[in-house]
Amino acid sequence: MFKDIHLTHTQSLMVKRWLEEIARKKQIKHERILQLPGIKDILNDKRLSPHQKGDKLYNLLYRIRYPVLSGYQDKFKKLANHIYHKTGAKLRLPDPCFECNEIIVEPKEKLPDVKKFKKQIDSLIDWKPILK
Amino acid sequence: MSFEYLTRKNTFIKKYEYGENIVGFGEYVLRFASSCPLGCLYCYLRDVNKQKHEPKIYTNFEMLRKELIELCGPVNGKRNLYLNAGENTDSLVFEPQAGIIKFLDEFISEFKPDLMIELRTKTDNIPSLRSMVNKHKFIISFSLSPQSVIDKYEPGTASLEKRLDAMRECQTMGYSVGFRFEPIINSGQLIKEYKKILEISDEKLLFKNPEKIHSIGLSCIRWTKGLMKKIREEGSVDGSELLLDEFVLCPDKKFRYFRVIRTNIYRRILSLLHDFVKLDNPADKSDKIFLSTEPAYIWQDCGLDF
Ligand code: SF4
Repeated sequence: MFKDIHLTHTQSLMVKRWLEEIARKKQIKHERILQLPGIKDILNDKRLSPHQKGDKLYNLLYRIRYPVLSGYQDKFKKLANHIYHKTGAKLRLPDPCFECNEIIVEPKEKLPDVKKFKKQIDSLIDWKPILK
Repeated sequence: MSFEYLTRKNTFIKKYEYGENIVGFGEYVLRFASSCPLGCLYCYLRDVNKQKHEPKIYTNFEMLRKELIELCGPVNGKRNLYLNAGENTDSLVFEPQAGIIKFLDEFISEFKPDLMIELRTKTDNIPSLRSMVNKHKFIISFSLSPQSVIDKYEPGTASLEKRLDAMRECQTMGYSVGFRFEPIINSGQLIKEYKKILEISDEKLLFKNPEKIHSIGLSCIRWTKGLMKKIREEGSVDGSELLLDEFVLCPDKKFRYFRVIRTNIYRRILSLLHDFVKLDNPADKSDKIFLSTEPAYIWQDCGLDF
């Protein structure tokens, strides 16, 4: 289905499963998925190498398969970037799916600066993570 | 209900393993059957019992008696023990033939242990509960789901109406009952459907005597990796549909809805519950309402104490 695209073994297994699940969820045929916004563009983009195409396709299908989760992951990334630019501290989730109540702050000395953003961090998913 | 009798080789009673980071209550599990004939599509036993076989009931109750004496007997026994007899099978589906309920009742009469036993069911098979002597030592808990979920995923079980009628009858007999909203399955109609369950429960006067409500447990559907794989391989429409939601791997190696989805579900059902169940004492509310097999951070997100 995807020639000129390089996927790792794990990626191709996931892509295959997600395609099936997206098709079922949206009640459309597999082929129609290729017409979904963004996918066609990736497949037809001549500037991308097979590896780049593979990564882009993988990420996009993940977003389509997990819209709520990936939406919150993007929000976290955006906030973490914002905090990094303001403080120089990097924020990391021990579990990428938020199944934990901690956020790792690196370097540790920046903790007091990051704590000033606590309200924004808490409102991210309406939780109260511990900054470590 | 057809089943075979068998002798249990290993122990009947086991401490329940909650899994990493899961809020636990220190309960014990009584395993008196090898499987469950009700055949719920999402049941974790389908992953444990790889081969289909006729359920077997372990009837060497003498061994169980010894274990119970050791665990909660009057001499060295533990205090305040909670025994769940509905973790490995439905507690009432084999009654009265299995005789386990009668055995437990007689044991309590003889030894007066500091013990509460939860019988958990999706049936309305309650006649054998009538003649029990120690009703105050048993909690009869009913797993409740919208009728649409029962129709799709719980083929051998009693209808919602029948379960609620049986629940009310248990209260009338003198038992405290447990509401177990489990497994909660995310759907567009979810809140409407749970409101309906509470409305019917209210009509049937189940909330009239709050002291006859032992506890109310909530738990969203969770999967083992093995069961997910099995359902994918089976390829049934209903099973595959269940897996289309956004599940993530949790610290206890089970898959659950992504945190935001399930917290949102719990918060909304909890708010509904507070509208219907008037537990006079505020402490009662936090004592009686709990999340089943969820990590502490989910309790926190839902504003519940543990
Ligand atoms: S009633 Fe409980 S034990 Fe029996 S099949 Fe259903 S979920 Fe499993």
